[in-house]
Amino acid sequence: MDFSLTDDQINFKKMAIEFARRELNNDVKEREKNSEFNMDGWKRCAGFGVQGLSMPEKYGGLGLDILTCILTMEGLGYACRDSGLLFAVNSHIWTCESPILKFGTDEQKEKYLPALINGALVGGHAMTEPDYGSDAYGIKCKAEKKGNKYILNGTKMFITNAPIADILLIFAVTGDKKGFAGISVFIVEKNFHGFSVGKPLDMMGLKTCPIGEVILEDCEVPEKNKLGKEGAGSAIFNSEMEWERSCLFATHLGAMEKELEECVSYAKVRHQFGKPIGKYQSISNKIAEMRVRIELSRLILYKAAWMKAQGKRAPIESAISKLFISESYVENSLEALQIHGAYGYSTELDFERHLRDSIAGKIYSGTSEIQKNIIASFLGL
Amino acid sequence: MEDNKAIKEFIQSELIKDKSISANLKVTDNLIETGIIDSLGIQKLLAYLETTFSVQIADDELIPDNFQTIEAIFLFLKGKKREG
Ligand SMILES: Cc1cc2nc3c(=O)[nH]c(=O)nc-3n(C[C@H](O)[C@H](O)[C@H](O)COP(=O)(O)OP(=O)(O)OC[C@H]3O[C@@H](n4cnc5c(N)ncnc54)[C@H](O)[C@@H]3O)c2cc1C
Repeated sequence: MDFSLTDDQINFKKMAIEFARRELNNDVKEREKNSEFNMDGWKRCAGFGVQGLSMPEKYGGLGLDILTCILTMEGLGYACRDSGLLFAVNSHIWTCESPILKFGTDEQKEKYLPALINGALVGGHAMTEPDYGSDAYGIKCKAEKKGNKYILNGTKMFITNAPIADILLIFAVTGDKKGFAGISVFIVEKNFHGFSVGKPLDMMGLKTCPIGEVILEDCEVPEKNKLGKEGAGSAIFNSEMEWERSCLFATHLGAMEKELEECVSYAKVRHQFGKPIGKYQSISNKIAEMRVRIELSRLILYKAAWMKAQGKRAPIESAISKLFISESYVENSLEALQIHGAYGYSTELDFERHLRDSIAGKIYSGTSEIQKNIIASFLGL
Repeated sequence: MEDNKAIKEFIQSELIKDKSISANLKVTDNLIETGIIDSLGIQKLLAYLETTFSVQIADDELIPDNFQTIEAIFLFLKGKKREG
C-alpha cells in the first residue's frame, strides 16, 4: 500500500473544494429549512464530473483511480454544506451506477450509464422493506416471470432518491429459493406501469436528500431489465455495499476535517476566564481526540478503497471502515458542538446539522451493530 | 477429493453452530435451503476458498448453483482451476 499523493490527486481535492464553495452552497440554509433538493446543484456536480469520477470515459466518465475519487469526495465533504446533496450523489454512484457497470449487459450500460453520468438521470437502489431492514435477505417483494416480463409486487421503504429517481435497482425474490439465494435485481424506470413513489419522508437529518417509499403494484419490468442472473441479488448487494462502505464515507472524512479546523480556530479566539478555551485541557483533549479519529478514519478509508481497487474482496475492512468513520463523525460532531457551546447548538452554525446528518451514517449501508456482527463472524464468533 | 474434505471441514467448523447437524453433514446436503450458508456465511466461505485454493471468485459467479452443496462448490472450483 502506498498512499503518497500525486500532484494531480491533490489538485483534484483542491478543485473539488473550490467548486463546492463556489457552486453548491448558495441558499443552503433555506433548502435545509424547506427540505428541498438542489437539482441545480445535482446538474452542476455532473458538469464537474462527480457522478462520473470512477466511471469509464467510454460512457462519459472521468475514469479516475479510486484514491483520486476518494480525495475529490473528501474535498466535497469538506466544503459543501449540503450533505443531503452529497448523500444523494453518493447513493446514485455506489448503488446504481457502479452495479450497472459491473453486472449490466452492454445494452444496459449503453442505455443508462451515459445519462446517469451526465446528470440527466437520478438513480438509487431499493432493498429495505417496511418489515425487513437489517435482515435484508428476508425481503418479500416478489418478481414473477410472465412471458418476457417480470411482474413485481411489494413495498420498499427509506429509499434514498426515490421521490426524484428516474431509475431504481429493485431487489425482489424470484423463484422459490430461500433467503439470499433467491434474490434478483431489476432496473425499474419510473414510468413503468405499476411503479409509484410516496411523498418524501421527514427524517431527522439529511433534510435536502429526498428519501421515500416505493410501491410496486403488478409493476411490469421487461426481462432485459434484469440486472445479472436470476439469484445474483446477494452478489450484487454485497458488491454494492462493499464499495459503498469503502468509499461513501470519504465525504464524512472531509466534513470532519472542516469541523476540526473550525474547532481549532474557535478554541484560539474564544476567551473565558481570561484565557483562550483551547488552553483548558478538557477542550484541547477533545480536539486532539478529534484529530486522532480523523487520522485513523483516513487510514482505514484508504486501505479499504485500495483493496477494492486491487479487485480484492474486503468484507472486514469495509465493515471496519464504515463502522469507524460513521461513529467518528457522530463523536466529532458532538464534540465540535460542545466546544462551540450555545453557538454550536444554534442553527446559525453547522454543527447541529452535522450531528443530525452524521447519525444517519450509523444506520444506512448496514447499521453499526451489523458491521460489528460481520467483524465478529470473521473472528469465528 | 481432498479439496472436498477440506471444504466440508471448513463448513462444519466455521459455518455450522449446531454440533449434531455438523456431524451428519453430507456433500449432497443443500447448504442454502438448510440455512447453513447465509448472507454472512457466504462471505466467510468466499474468503476461505480464495485463500486456500488460490482462486479469484468473481461477483457474478456468486449464484446459488455454484454454492448449493459441497459437491457443487467442489465442481465449481475444479472448473475454475481448469480455466486458470
Ligand atoms: C438516511 C437513510 C437512507 C437509506 N437509504 C436506503 C436506500 O437507498 N435503499 C435501501 O434499501 N435502504 C435504505 N435505508 C434503509 C437502511 O438500509 C436500513 O434502515 C438499515 O438496513 C437498518 O434497517 P432498519 O432501519 O429496518 O432497522 P432494523 O433492522 O429493524 O434494526 C433495528 C435495530 O436493531 C439492530 N439489529 C437488527 N438486527 C440485529 C442483529 N442481528 N444483531 C444486532 N443488532 C441488530 C439494528 O442495528 C438497529 O439498531 C436508508 C436508511 C437511512 C436512515
